[in-house]
Amino acid sequence: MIRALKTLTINRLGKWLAAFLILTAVVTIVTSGILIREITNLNTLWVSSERNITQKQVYLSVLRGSIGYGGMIHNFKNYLLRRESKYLLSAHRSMLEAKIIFSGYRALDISAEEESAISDIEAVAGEYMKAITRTELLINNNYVLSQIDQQVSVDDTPALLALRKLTNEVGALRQEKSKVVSGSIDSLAKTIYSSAIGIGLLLVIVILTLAWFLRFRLIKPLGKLVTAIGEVDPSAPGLHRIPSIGKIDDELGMVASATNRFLDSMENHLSSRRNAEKALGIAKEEAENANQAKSEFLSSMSHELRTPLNAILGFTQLLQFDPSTPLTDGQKDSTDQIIKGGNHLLELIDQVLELAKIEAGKISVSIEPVSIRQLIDESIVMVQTMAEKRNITIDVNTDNCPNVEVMADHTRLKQVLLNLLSNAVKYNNEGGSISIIARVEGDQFCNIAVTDTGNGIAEDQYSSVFKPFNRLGHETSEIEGTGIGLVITRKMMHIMKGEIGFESEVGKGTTFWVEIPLAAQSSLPTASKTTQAESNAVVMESAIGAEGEGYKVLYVEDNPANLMLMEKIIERMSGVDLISAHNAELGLEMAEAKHPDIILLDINLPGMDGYEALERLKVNEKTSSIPVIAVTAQATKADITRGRHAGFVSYITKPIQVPELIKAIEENLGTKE
Amino acid sequence: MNKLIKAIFILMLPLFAAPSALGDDRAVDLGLTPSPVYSLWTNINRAVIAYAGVRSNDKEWLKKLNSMEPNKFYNKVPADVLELVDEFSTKLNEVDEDGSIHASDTLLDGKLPNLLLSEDNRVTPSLVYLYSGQVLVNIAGDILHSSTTPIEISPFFVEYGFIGAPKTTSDVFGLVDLALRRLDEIVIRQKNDQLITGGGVQ
Repeated sequence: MIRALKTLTINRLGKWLAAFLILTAVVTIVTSGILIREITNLNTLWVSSERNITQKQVYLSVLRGSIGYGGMIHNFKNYLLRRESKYLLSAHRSMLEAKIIFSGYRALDISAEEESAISDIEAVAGEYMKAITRTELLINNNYVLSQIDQQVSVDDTPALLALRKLTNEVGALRQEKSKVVSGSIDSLAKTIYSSAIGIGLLLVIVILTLAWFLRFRLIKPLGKLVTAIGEVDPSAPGLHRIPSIGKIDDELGMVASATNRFLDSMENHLSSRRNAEKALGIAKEEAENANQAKSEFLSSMSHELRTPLNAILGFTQLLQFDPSTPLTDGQKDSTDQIIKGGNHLLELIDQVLELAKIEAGKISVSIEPVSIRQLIDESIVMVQTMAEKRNITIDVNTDNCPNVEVMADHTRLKQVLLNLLSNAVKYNNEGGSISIIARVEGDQFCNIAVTDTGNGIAEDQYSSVFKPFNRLGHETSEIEGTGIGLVITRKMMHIMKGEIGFESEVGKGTTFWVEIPLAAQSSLPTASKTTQAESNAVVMESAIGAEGEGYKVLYVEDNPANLMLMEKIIERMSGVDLISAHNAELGLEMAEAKHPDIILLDINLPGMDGYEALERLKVNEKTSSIPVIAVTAQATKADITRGRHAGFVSYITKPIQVPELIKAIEENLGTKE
Repeated sequence: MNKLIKAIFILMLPLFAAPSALGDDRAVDLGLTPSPVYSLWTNINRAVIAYAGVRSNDKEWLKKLNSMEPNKFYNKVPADVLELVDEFSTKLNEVDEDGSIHASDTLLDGKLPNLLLSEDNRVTPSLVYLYSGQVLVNIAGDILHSSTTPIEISPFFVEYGFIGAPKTTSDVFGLVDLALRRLDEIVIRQKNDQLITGGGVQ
């Protein structure tokens, strides 16, 4: 039994309970049936006994009446005394009634003593019958009473004793029957008591079994299961397993086992996932390292490319602007091509660097309110010359948003607009037109659309428009381009929370649009600023015409070609002498010894770099007042910022734009004065 | 499950059926068989012949009455007998000169209330005996009433024992029928004014 309980399952318990309940019901019904039968038997016994006794009492009463006073003896004596036949008839009638009472009494359940008593009475009655018959004969023969009395005599003492005995017997019988019935009632009560105890015990067993099972085989293991499941850390299921609950083949054991299998599976899954994440992290790190390496490579490439470009473009410019040896038209065309190719290469380098920085997430923007109208005007100025060369007209319509400002980085948004305008000029037809329309979309965005009248973009090329190095079939055309301008443009727009898109129809033209978040509306100053391009033009022009005033310029440069270029440039400046050093250490000595008016300092120098040299110059009181201009191929915005913060008065990037360099020298010489 | 329920139901049936089988049978009988009744009607037949002798001196007729034999009947029940007893009793009243002595129909009249019949009013030999006993008393009275000379009636009240098989209800029926036929003879004689009107004895 104990073993069976220990291996009890929910399913088996259900069957047991059903069997127990059926058994209890059967026992209850059978017991009830037995009790009903017992009660019925008892009632039958009681009724039968009572009827028997009552009937005997009635019979005895009738018998006394039939035989005694008013009965047979009484009528016999009256007949004897009065000699009237009616008494004789009544005597015989009473005798017949007595006979039938004897029979009736015997028909009841009687004892031997009663039978004996009845026989005694019957015998006396028989004697009386003989006496009556004899008396009738004597009376009919006219015997007198005394004569009859001598001949007829009946002793009725046995009958009287028998009647008393019967009466006592009936009384005793009543007592005995009462005892029997009482005993039966006691027995019945015991049966009921036993049945109640039996059924109660059965129910107690069922309830205890159920309670035991619920407590120890269901609720407690279930609680353990719930607690164990609650302690499972989904992120690290391997640390916990559901402990063994019950037997393997019971339901909760199966649940625990299934849960553990699930956890195993989950752990394997998570382990695989962690391995994958780890591998992914490694791959990411490798990718980042590779990206870093790529950036460094690009930066290095930029420097390495700019250095020879500096010589190429610089000497070409010198050739073009040398008044002593004017170029022929053919030479002029050749040098133009050199400068054009060099500038294109420079642009390509810059844009590749820009794209690399964007993809590396290293680009930073300064979002601030920017005037749309002003931005458009500044951009138009920068493409105006190129448009005029191709007889392309530019129309601007900002009627819908005259004083609107958008939230953007001024430089970057201008770069975007310039790119769109530049493309609109380059890919337009000769004598075509460009339309710039700015309008407010709803109350959150400003839309600037640049529409050209070029050949348009075929629909099958739509998906390639924003892909890098894809020029949509213009790779072999005369139109210059890097193929990454629109890629950079779109990335810029996304950085500034804007959007860019286009619509095009082949043969009619293309509209590129950008959508920028609006800033709070404000009135903008209408006065236009002098553009950087205009300034450069002025400086270029004045620089070329400047004359030297006896100044000394120290140039620290390790590249001989660059050094030679600088010598050529400085030669053009009257009154300016150039001294040079091929490394920083020598440059410092010369600065201290020669005390030049300006120092042009390269940054990427062998040994001590330009920054360290600048720092030493600044701490040396003999050289601390000398303005130092950086002339370097480190041309990124970050490089320029760093240079400014380090203390360079100007930051000239290679390839050197001769007018820019001359302007910087002149300004700083003027500062010195 | 159905088999189980059926088994339980079948098991229960006798338990619930038992009490009804043990129902309250209040049938009460005085325990008499047809034999005492037969003895009684033997005496009644003798009394009828005696009564005829009291009322007529026609020796041939009396001889004829005395020689009448009981017919054979079969499958009679006490109720049949009681019906015939009742018919006899009615006719006896017709031949009675004044009918004054027939005060009761049965023996123990009123002394054993509700004890003589079973609940289904089944007629028993005991009941027939009670009616028949009263008939004997009545006819004995008639004899006494009609006789002009002293006559003994006590012999009519002697109980006979019979040798052989116990008497049946059909046997009793035959004796009652015999007595009735004898009484019919008396009735015919009475209607023909062939009977003697006696002064009777006291």
